[in-house]
Amino acid sequence: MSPTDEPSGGSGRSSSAERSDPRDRDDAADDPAFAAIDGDDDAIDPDAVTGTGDGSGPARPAVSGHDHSGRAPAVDAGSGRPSELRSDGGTRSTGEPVSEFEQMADVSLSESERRRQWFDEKILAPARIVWDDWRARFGVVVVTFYLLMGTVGLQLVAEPSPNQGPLLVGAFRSLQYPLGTTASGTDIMSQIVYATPSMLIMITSGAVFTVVLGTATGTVAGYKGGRTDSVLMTISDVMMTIPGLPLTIVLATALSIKGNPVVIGILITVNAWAGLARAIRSQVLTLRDAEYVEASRIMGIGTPKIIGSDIIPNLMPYITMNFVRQARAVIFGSVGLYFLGVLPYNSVNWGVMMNAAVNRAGATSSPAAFHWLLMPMLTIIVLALGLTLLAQGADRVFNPRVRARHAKTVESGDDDEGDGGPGGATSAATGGI
Amino acid sequence: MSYVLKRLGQSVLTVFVVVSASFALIRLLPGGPLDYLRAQMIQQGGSSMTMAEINQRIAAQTNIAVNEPIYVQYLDYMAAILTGDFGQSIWYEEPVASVIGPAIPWTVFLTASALFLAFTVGVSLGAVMAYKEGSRFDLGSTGVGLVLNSTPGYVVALLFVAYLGYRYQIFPTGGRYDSAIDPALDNPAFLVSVLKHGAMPIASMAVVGFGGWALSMRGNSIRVLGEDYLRVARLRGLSTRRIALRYVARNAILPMYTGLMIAIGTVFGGAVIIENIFAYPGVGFYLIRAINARDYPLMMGGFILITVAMVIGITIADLTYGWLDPRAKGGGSRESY
Amino acid sequence: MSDNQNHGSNGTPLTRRRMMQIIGASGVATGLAGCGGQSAVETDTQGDGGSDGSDGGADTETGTPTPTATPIQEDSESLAMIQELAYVTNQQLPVLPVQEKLAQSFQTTDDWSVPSTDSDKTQLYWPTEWLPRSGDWTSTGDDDRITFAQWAVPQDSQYNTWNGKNFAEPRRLLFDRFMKYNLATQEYSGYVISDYTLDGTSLTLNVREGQTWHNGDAVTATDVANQIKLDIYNGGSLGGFIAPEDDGKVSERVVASDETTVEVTLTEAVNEDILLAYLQPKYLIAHDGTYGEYVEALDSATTEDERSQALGNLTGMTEPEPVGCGPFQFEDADTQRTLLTKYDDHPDAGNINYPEAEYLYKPQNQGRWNSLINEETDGSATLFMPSNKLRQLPDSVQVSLIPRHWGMGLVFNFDQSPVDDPRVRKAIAHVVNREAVAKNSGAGTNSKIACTYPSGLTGEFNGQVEGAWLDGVTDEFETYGRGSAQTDRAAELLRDAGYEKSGGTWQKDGEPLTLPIKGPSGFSDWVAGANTIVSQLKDFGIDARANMLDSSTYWGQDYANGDFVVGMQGWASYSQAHPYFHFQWIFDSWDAKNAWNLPSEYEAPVLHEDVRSGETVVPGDLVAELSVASE
Repeated sequence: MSPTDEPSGGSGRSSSAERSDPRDRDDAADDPAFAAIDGDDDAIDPDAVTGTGDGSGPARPAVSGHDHSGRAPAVDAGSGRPSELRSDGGTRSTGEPVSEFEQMADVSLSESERRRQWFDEKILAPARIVWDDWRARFGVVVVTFYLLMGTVGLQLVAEPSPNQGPLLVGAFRSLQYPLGTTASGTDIMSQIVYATPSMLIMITSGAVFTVVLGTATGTVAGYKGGRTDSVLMTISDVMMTIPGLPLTIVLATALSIKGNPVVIGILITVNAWAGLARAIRSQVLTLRDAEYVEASRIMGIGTPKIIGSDIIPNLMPYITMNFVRQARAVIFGSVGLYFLGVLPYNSVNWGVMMNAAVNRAGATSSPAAFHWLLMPMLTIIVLALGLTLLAQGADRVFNPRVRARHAKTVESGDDDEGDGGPGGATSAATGGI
Repeated sequence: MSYVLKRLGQSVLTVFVVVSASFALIRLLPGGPLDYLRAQMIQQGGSSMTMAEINQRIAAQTNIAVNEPIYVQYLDYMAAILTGDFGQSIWYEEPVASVIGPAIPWTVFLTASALFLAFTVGVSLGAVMAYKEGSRFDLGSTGVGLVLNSTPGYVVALLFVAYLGYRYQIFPTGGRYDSAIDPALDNPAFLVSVLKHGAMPIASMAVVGFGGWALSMRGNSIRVLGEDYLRVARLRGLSTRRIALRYVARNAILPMYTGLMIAIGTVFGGAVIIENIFAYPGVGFYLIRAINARDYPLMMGGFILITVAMVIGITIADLTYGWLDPRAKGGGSRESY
Repeated sequence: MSDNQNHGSNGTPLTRRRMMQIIGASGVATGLAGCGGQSAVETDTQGDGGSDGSDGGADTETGTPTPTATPIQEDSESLAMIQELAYVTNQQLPVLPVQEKLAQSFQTTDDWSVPSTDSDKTQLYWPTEWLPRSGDWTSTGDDDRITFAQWAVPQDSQYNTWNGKNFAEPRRLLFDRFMKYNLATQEYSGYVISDYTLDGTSLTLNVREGQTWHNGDAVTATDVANQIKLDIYNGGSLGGFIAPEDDGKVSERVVASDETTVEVTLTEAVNEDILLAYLQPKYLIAHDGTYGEYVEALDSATTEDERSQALGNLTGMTEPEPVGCGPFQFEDADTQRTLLTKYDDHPDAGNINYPEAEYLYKPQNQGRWNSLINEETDGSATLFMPSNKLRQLPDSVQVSLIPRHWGMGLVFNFDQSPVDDPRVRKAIAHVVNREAVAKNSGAGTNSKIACTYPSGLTGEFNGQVEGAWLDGVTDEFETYGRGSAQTDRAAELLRDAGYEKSGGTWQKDGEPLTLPIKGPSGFSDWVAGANTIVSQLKDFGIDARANMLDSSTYWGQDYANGDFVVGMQGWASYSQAHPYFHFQWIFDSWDAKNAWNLPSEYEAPVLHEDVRSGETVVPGDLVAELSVASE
């Protein structure tokens, strides 16, 4: 049961042609240590184990985050000796002890290999995970549809203007005006499509603002601790207890904003970053003491890099949840405020459409005009639903167990219900909005 | 104890910040009630009232700030707020407190009922769903909950108005209660009328809220159901009922408590829009009126009061969390929100 | 024509018959001139209304309310001046009159007896206040309470008209107007002022006897005089005729000479119809017991400061429980409704056979429409109702159409190019298809009528403009394509002005012709109209944009400060129908001078040689002459 069946020879620096599929390397059966654990006393030849004279026992593969994921463990060149001859940090090429500090990587990837690997890891695997889950699939489809509507759709559909068609044509009645027309004869579908881009901008700006500010604040506060922490947390606590929508209304009025969607998006989420900051901070507090973080610190890696590559990836679930939650809040909030007339009038806007339908044509009590009210409502609901489902699906992307399963391209047949329904973060009661 | 003090201190700080911000906004920003007044007068007087006359009237009517240094004004403002004097509403010509004061209980009535309803229905539903995990009931409810959670409250409100209000005339579409009835708390007709008028606003807010709670409870319950201590409890021979309530429910609800605090916040905001749809004279309703009229004192008063109500609610929730969750004694180690 | 006695600036005959004669369609609106009252409560609140409730035309016919045009009674000189002013307006287009509006008034016939909609009796501003008084709106069955709607929260309403805030609809039944005017017959009849005489610069008003205030005080000439004085102090238009130079003189020129007579001294002879038009709509609100002290303070003020102070006190006063003089008295108001009970000592109390009147709080159009549909309310003075809701009205609710003599127009800021160039303005007029705009603005009802001859004259609905005012000279007037976009003419004008069309847009020196149009977003019919205009202009190649601001911002800032290139505003006088008022509005008002920055003189071709000689004309002068012109 020699695990050393690797064909590559040479100096141990395997060339691309000879390297076998990296993923096979992780097969447990090849590892002498596991064989030893299983009870095979001969798996590891104590005499063959070398090191730098430290007399340590059987080597074991590196376990830190810096291990050679996907890389072929080195093989012995000429002697063909088992790759069990490992010591922490690398193997020798010639079988003689080499200082760790001079150790060169025995394995290297070519450029295209690296890219392919990256692609596989970062894009294909998550995509596959997402596609598996019907909820996430639906979410992706919906969000993509809206994105298309906001970009390509503008080219396909005529610009809304009065008297495009007869007044108050019902929905689904004619092919020319699939969603009907308003009391001025404007095509409802055109209005909905043309209102999409600015809504998308609003959503993005609001969600990005929240996420960036919240994450930054939370991580800094959690990581630094001490005075910075308490100051930042006090600020965010205060912001958190100020009611969001009334604050937005007051600011929108007092600041006489002109209607720039980016500004509006930020205004609606102006105090939402505080909640995220809090959650992130507590996560960071626990992560701060993780081994690998400590290891990075010891290695002298700079703080930003530590935060960036060690801590933030673990926060991704919270971040995505919050991103989607804020996106939803922006949709609901902006449509609501436009409906009330608090935000400056804009002729192509879902909320303004609803307002016009109710106030100009009495849509809530007039079946003839009801479609004018219903269409923008449905648009909002579907978009929010899509975002929510996408978030739930995305949650699984960050679930390491699910990722690992997919990393081996093993199709999981069953729907993974293990996370017990939607992530908690999306399901906070929304009360009125 | 010190945590309690710290928490209270924080609440006071929040209110202080909000009041200061409102001072800044009122005093330092241009425009304001003059514009609305001018607009009203133009619309009323048409062409026959000249603009000079309008300006004269406006100057006579509005309380323009006196020429005192700003910090004096600030201190005066703060002192006034502490005594409950939120200034004079420019539009209603009455103290802000007397315009909004009577409206507060109505808003609290709506929001508290909605929150309560959403929470209880949601939690119960979630528990049942967890119990029947995987069944059609579970899947169906999850779907319904998801869709409702993706609907804003005002959309539901409009649909209710359209169908329950106008089409089938089950509920009245506006107002707090039927004005022909004598408004006394011991008058059953009055109470019934209040409930009828409040039914749709409360329902709108509750309907979009319970889904989230249900799904959350479901998730938590499923997780809890797999815990070891439950197995131990069962082995100990405790009754199912006791297990369900004291072990499962309690542990499942606990993490949602912070969500409740967030919900207090959002429900006040949502109430603003809902009150306007139903022309229900609560604080949110007056807030929007104040905004249309550019009546800054009234607007700020409304905003401060909403914030104070919310701060009180959250502080109570925060302080009682320690009582609910024995692990969280000091609060410092507790992860809030 | 009218019987001419004297001409020139002096002539106004003394005969009492005068009282019954009218000129043209001198409508009276919701009495504002000098009243500072509130009509526009109908216009909007919370941005829900159409501009002043409009529209009727139900789904049946086009609804031209008034039968045939009564021939106007105007002497040839005045008529010539009016036509001249109209011509200048038509040729220079300082404003662009787009459409005229028909107000729609509702009455329910279930349990109530009201005149039919084509009867002259409903042609009033407004049926809900006059028909009960004349006994034409009576209860036939079980309903012992007449119910209407109001915009302001009843509990917060106050009835000090000079305060201007939350002045609510119940005023119509709580207070009496000075006189009554019927649009169809064009007749004035006395009410609180039972009759009057005008002799040169001396106007005598007789107050009717036997009327009392709701607290028992007699209605006397002092009250009437106080009302007139307070209106003048607050900037009313009568002040211009009574004490134009110094408010201090008001108290000596408006005097209650005895219990029932008020003597008013004018600074110069004024056209009687103009005076009546200002007097008729006033509500008698100045109860001596309530307002007497303010009148005294204002009368005795000697300096400007003192007067401002006194005025401030008056306008700051709120009156939540008014003492009125109308057929109903104030009973109670809470958050939902105002309740009035019949005041049996009113002269017309015998005509009213129901003991209560109620005003329900309905702040949104929707609520009002539905309460009319389900007959929760018994009528509405004026209300905008779109066609899809009109179709839901039960047959028992009738709709009467009342011409408003007012409508949406575009105003131009003469300090801004490109609209300071008359050719650009005329090109815009050619491009805009006013019929299409009126159709959209009316939302499927026929309540908006496009102006055929944009000239500042009203009366489109019954052909009064070409049939009466412009009789004989219509050929000289330009229609600018009422129902079509006359792009060729427009193109010609623009080219003449130095623009050329390249790449589909009109440009001058590489700069595209941009027209940002600002308007109030609260008037939904204006919004629809603006969007239509913008799309028509865009189709033609002008870069037009509709910039709808919320009402406070628009009226309060952008409009008032002249911060616009093209704005939206009514093109006629809001409260009157006689052309004098319209031209006064267009050429001589504060708005014209400060917001639109109109010049005082124009270059326009001459219509009547005997009115003016050269092409240069100062319209303000013509307007002033009209005010004193004889009959």
